[in-house]
Amino acid sequence: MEMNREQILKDVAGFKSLFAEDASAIAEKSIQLTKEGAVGIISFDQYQEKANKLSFMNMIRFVELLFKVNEDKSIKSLLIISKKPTIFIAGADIAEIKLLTSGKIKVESLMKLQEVFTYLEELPIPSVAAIHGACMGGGMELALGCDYRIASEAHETRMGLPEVMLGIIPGWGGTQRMPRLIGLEKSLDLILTGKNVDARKAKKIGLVDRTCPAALLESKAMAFAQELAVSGKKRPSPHRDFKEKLLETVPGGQWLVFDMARKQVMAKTKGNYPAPLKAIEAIKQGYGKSIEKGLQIEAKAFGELIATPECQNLLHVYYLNERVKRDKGVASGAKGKTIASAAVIGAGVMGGGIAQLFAAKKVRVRMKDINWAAIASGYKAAYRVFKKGLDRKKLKKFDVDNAMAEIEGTTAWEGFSRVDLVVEAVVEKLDVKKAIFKELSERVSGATILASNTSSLSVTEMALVVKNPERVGGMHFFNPVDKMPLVEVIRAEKTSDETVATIFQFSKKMGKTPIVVKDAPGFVVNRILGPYLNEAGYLMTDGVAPKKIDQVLEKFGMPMGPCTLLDEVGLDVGSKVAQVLFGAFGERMKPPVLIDAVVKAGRLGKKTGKGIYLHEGKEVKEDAEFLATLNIKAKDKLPSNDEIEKRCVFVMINEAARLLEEGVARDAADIDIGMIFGTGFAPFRGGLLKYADSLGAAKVVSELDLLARVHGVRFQPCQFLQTMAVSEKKFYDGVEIG
Amino acid sequence: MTKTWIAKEQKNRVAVVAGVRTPFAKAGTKLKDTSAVHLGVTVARDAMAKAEVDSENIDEVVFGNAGTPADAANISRVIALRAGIDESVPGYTVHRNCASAMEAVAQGCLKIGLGLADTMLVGGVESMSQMPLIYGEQMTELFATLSYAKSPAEKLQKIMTFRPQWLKPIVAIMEGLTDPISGLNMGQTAEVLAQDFHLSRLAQDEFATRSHHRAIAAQKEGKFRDEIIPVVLEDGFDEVLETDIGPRDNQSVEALSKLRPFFDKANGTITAGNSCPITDGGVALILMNAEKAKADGRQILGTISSYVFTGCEPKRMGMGPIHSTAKLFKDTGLKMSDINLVELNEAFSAQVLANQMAFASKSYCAEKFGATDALGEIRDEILNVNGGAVALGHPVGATGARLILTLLLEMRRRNVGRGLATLCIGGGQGGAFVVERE
Repeated sequence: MEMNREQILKDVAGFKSLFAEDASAIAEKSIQLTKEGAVGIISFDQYQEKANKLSFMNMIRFVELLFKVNEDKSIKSLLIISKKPTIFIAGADIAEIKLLTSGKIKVESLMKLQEVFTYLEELPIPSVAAIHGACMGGGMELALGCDYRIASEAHETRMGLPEVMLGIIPGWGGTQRMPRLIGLEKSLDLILTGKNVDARKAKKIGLVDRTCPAALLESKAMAFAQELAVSGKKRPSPHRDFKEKLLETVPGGQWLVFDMARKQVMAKTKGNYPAPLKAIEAIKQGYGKSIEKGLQIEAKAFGELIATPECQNLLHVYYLNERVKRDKGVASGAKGKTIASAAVIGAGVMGGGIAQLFAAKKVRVRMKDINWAAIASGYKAAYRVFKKGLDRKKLKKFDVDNAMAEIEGTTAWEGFSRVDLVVEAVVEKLDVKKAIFKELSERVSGATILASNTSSLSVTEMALVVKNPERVGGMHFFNPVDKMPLVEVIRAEKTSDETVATIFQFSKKMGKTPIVVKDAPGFVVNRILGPYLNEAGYLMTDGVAPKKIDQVLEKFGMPMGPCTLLDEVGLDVGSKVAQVLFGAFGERMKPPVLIDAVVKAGRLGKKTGKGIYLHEGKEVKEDAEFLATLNIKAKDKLPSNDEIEKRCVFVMINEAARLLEEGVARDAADIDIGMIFGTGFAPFRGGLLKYADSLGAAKVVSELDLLARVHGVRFQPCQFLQTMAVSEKKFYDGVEIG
Repeated sequence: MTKTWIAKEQKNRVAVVAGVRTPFAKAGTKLKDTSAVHLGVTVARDAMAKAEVDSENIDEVVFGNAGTPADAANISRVIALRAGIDESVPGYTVHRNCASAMEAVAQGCLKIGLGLADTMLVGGVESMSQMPLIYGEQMTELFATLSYAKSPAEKLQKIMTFRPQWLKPIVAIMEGLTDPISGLNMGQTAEVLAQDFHLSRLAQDEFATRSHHRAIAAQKEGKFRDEIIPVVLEDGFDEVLETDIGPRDNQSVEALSKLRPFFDKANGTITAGNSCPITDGGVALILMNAEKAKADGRQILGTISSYVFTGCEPKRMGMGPIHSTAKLFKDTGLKMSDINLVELNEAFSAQVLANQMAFASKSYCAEKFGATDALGEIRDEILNVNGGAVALGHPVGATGARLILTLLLEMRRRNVGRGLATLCIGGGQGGAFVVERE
């Protein structure tokens, strides 16, 4: 133990110089050691912050307190507890991971901090962690270093190791101590997916020893620690049930578990995400070995991951997300208004989906349509989503009853004077929408915010007929509303900052990820997807099989290929948007004739059972017979995979650059947020423009030039890109994200 | 006996700002899987919308409900919270059998009249479809002893005492519709009236037929659209009920004459066709201090001018309307000729006809009330002009508020000043409300 201490002191000595002078004073204020009888209590209460986190300085402070605990022979057991209302310890300080990726701190140094929890584990007295609130990542690893864990049954209490979501793996013993505690299968499930569990589940899988109501946690944990002070009992040997014993001891059993895990990961990630695979390796190599050996294996794997671009890109996405959390949507100090009640006009798929979202978040929503059959379909759309939650046991019947009661159907304008926000979600026809906005303008109070859910029509036009047009904006949800995180908040010509801030803030309150976009055809996401989907059509015209196109882009990292996407969205819908874009931007957005032909054949996609593909139940098949009827001029030499990828991706980069050129999007970060949360664009690439930055503008321009020579104007690099190439600028230059 | 509540004597007048009801559906049909709570929430939310009243401005919530659902013992509270009314706003449920919703309105009058509240959400809900079957005493006893049994052996011993006939359920609704004092079922009390007033089967069937025809006419003219909020069925939310199910366009006296008497198979005249069906439905009204409503610049449907509840012979509970109206007229000085429109609940055709005869009968009024003259004829032209419960149905806990709502809306259409809503109450009571428009 003493040697260990000397080693740790030596190892951490170098860190302190990296941080501001007051950093160690803050750490001292944040973590305290007190004594109650024979129980030593280390409490976490991060100074002037909402969350407890394990920054480097906090780790040093923590281990110094552990030294004290070890020295004080009157302390017979140790209790670790948080004083924050909803957080135990949220994890490592992610801001400091940047110090690693930037090379300011060597990974090896960080890994030395593994010793802190080993020291905790090896204390001669028993220790117990009292967990209430988020117990994630490093916080979970700390708890795993304790001999026992007691957790509150509050819904805020969540435990897990989410590191893979950031492209890394647990680095302070998580990959070693969790499998040793709860077994291979259960820990692989948690570590490879990054998902978290509540106290009840944690007790069931053996992650915690006891649970109790939140209000009793402090006293129950104290009683637990007092028991331990008397008994002096260290960690008991972990429990395994029969099946686990079998799998872990029978020859080949472990191999089977790891092989299955690997296959699952590969099916889900197509091999694009190295972290879960590394986690499997670290667990596999370390399991059954000494903890020291296991930690070395983990450290090595962690170090290798930190250096990968995937990790950097996933961290980038994390920061993008953090930016949204801080973002108010406006540069001025304008404050958003509180929305207590809302209305949705139009009870179709989108209207019903929006009503469901609001209801789920306990916002009263009047849902208006012209007849009750339409309203019923809106209710049904909403109920379908809740029903899924019910079937998956995520919701109880009373949750659903309460939520469904928030939706008020009506065919009349009664009750609209009380509504703070109206979202219009009727058919995409400008004159219909204008008529509704005109009527609304008479029916609601002057302060009510009016938002259109249009995907491509001009909000500025709609605002023309409204009395106070500054309160009109766009709130563009994506289908299906309950699943798609993005909301494009549209700033029309006269939209006030207050309106933008209100819609932005309310979108976040609804659990969505908003970006602010100027009113321009297609906004951000559809504008970028337009040429991408067109290109898929051109590739088909050139004779490339749709399945081939989809495979290439899925390998690139899109959640589904463009042909599948067209079938999902509906070819009629896609084609309508394409026409709007063509009308607005001309030649470069010209839709391929082939797509038109598919629409004319009445093949509208999944909803009609036939689109580019044949949809039979859940099965999707290529329809060679139909493809043969299309006017395909197959080239002698079909485009290579590389060309397919380039044509589809570079055309998007070019269009994204135009969005910045025209000031439609605020910056590169907003475009990447839009693409990741609106289309599922490969997060491991950090976003479309992050990917472009990794190539460099010069490379993008030269590739586009090449493509333009063969395929014409639609690949002509825009001025913005060309200037970037010349001045060697990056899309993210000057963009603040974290 | 309590005195009549008279608006003029109160601190504040009470305005009915808005009201709405669900379509009424015969029990066991469209609304059978839709809970009384859902019916209540639907009308509560729409009533607030119609009145343009924010949920935070409701001071108290009172609903009438006769067959308490097991999962919503104080159903008003459940409705209130689910309708988005703040947790700090109290709510209670009232039960006066068939007049439960009328009692809810009365509670609103009392509180607003005294200045204890400014705005109240009142109404009534009933799902007669969902009234439960109950285990008999022996079975209940067995369940109880089983839960106390200390050992498996003891449990087994208890189980051995079980007899299959214990499973025969008690139908809560049948128990509920039987008066324990006279031992008569509601239908049997109507048979008593038919005998007292020598009401023929034909007269009753003709009355029932007229009720259907009037309801159908009102339906066709779209009159009920003013008072109905369609209900999206709670079971799956994929179907809507937009109109009352009861009224039959092709109803004929001949068809009714073919039905067998239900309550007295040998000598009776009361059939399922000339009685009201057991029904599911809900009603909500927004009541407000009339001065406040005026200050807010609100359109109102009318004000409550007076009301009273009185008791009568349980065996002749159907005569409740005349008893309560007589008391109300006596206390207020009103006469039948002052009344422009009447809603008298049609529990049974016989019971309405009996009341009509008694209202016009000098001897009945002299005998019962010591009056020198008849209370006054209720002319067919002003009685239940849009049909009544025989056609629409009678969701016990909700009907009282429907009568007031239907009455006020028709008074608006006819542009008349004063109306009477009255009903008979199982157990031998009557309720009468007079409402006014300016």
